[in-house]
Amino acid sequence: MIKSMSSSVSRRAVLIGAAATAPAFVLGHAQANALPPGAVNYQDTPKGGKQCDGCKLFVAPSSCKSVTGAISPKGWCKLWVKTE
Amino acid sequence: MDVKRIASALAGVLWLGSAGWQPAQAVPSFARQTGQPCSACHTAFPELTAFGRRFKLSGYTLEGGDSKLPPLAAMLVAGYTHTSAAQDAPPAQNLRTNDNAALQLATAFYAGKVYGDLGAFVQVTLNPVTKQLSFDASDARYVTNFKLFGKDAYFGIDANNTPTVQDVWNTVDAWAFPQLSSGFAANTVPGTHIGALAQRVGGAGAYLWWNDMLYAELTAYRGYERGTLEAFGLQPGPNPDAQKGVIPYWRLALEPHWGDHYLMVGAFGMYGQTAPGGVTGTGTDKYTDVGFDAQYQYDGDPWSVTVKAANTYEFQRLDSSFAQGLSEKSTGWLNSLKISSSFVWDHTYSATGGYFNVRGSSDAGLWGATSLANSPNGQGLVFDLAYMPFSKGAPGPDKAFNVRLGVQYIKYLQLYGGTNNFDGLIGTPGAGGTHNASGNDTLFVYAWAAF
Repeated sequence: MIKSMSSSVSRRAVLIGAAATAPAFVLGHAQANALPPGAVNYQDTPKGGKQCDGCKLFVAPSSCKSVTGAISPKGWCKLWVKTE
Repeated sequence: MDVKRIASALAGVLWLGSAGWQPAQAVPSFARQTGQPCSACHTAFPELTAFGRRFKLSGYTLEGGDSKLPPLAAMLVAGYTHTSAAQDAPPAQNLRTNDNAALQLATAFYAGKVYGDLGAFVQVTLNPVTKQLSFDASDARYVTNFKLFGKDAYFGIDANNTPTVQDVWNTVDAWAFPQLSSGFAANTVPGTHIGALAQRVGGAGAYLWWNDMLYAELTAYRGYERGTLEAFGLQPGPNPDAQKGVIPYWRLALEPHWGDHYLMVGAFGMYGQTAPGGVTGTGTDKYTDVGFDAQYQYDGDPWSVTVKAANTYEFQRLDSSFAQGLSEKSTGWLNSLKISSSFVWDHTYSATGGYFNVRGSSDAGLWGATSLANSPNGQGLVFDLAYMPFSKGAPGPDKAFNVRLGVQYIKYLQLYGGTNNFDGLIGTPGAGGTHNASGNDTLFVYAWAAF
């Protein structure tokens, strides 16, 4: 009897929890292997003469192989690697 | 006295089997895959930068490099070990009781992206001295990302064989300073259950890394059977301890950062049940480990500073040991504190200092063989200076090649509850000076190459 009640409550709790948290999740898989800008200290301005359009990871006009989101050609982050 | 001598030798072997062979995550295949130099992920390898932590958290799958090679790499460590006093017996066959120069380990890695969002850090290590090949500390993880409450979130599923190898901070057992030490030194301090399970369990778990700040993980382990331990090269002997039931491990950490300043405060823990010697019918010993850790890192350019501290408290309920007559009491405790700080200039020169302190309940059965005071208590200092000339790229075809040339000194202030004659063996035939705490002071000069 206790087991049955516990099972019922547990199931209801799971359903309520799922309904409550569903809007919080936005699943996306566009750049699963890239990092968010904050994780690599991305900034919209150059640093020490280095900027994104001179980096081999930059993908014109405004994205990056390794960093998610819109990337400014004049930006900079810790992953900056000189174009060969 | 004979029993004490055997136990003392066994303690030395355990030291060789655990602390001397730590995992290493300075892997050139990661550098080839990402197109980044070693310095992107490491302040001074193997210690991780903020980006190194995020590369690992996102599943070892980040790309950007031009290399078409499979994610294979290798590592060699050679060293010269001098202890303040000669050991009673050579630490391994073909070695001397002191002043040993030897190739300490050779490791092969499969480290990097496997497919899609699946990445791995798998290593097989050869001990060239004992000719023993073993399945070293490894993990594989599948990571996906999404938005949670409007913030970036990474959800990972991880499988590994060493509790804490999956961690990204250099505070926990698998990665705590010193990450490399001599495999041929003498006695050292005992450790907690989390460290004792390294490579002896298999586990799977899940973690969440949210808002580039919050880390939460739960992993469940099971102990390997004797046959598996043998297959993985761990030389378990005829009656290895049996790990019973599921062993849960949990981890929470918060890492806010302000520019290049990263602060982490965290907690972790584990509950494990062990049947010493695999004996059945006497119940199990129960270990509950609870740890707190913190790390501050200035991840700047051209220099960085990392300060770390971890304290693990272990509650011991020793039902099986007590019933078997292996322990004097049925309960006990052990506390392990590790503090260290490193300064690194331009990812090339590093200076690190550390302090370790182990305290625990006295027990004639558990510690009497190595301690006159029946005590596990010990403390000491560790210093390490290293030079890594190729962290920003090596000359030649393989820019990811790196080498670490270092000098390390461990100063023991106390061992097994004493300073002089801590195990009461001085005066017995053949007993040398390593029965004084200072006799175990160890100078280790090493060359660590990764390619």
